[in-house]
Amino acid sequence: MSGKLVSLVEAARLIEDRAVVAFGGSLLHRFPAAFARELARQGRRGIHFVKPSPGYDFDLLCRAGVVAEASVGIATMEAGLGMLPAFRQRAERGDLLVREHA
Amino acid sequence: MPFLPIAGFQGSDLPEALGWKTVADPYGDEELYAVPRLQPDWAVIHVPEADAEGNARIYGTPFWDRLMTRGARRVIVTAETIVTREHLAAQPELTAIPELFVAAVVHAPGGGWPGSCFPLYEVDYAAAGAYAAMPTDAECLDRHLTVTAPRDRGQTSADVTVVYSGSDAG
Repeated sequence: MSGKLVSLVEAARLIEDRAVVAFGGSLLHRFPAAFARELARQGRRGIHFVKPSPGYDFDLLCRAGVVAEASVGIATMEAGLGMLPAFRQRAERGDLLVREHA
Repeated sequence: MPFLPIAGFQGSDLPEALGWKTVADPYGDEELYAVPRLQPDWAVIHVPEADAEGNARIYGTPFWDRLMTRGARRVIVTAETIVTREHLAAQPELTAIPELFVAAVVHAPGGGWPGSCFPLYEVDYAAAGAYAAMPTDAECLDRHLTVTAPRDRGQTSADVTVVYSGSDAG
């Protein structure tokens, strides 16, 4: 087996505080959910989150205080589940730098 | 590429809000907005199948994932199934992410939950709805992260319905 195979915990440790991180997938489809949760558990800070159409992953990282800055387009839970509550709360409080890329 | 010229934002407040500058069309008279480069340090991509070197398949729409893996400095792939190199080599045109971009590979069955991972499982709408309705206090978040930790970290089997095993993974 290759040296590239690592545990989820080890992989999340590769992400430095204040890194610019792009997340794959779209809305509720094929996004790295377990990885986002692990970043939150590890208490990463200052991340610049990049994704054209984020959902749960972005909201979770906003909620956990991982994200300080965001370059995003449409950001929603979609499918009748409404807005992203933590993203909305932080954006309205003005403690998140948001760059909208529609 | 330091920037990309784009059309279609005339009349919007976004260019000013984002500080976009303009460039002159070298072939005509138009002024175009020049969107500055955004280079991620990392791209993190979840896929149904990858081998141990980071060659990865995506089934269904790739969204922006191919672009992200080419634009980011380094890539982490999390995969539902770790497959053999021979499995991917049988249809090399299906490899969306080649190993040369990939720094780390994680075997993460159910790693897209509560989202979908085509063709393995659909969105868990009940769980996604429960998350959306969850109060934004620290206690609820801690519980959510604690409850999901054993599965995320591979200490218990994935709580998702696998409808397609898809490979010769060993």
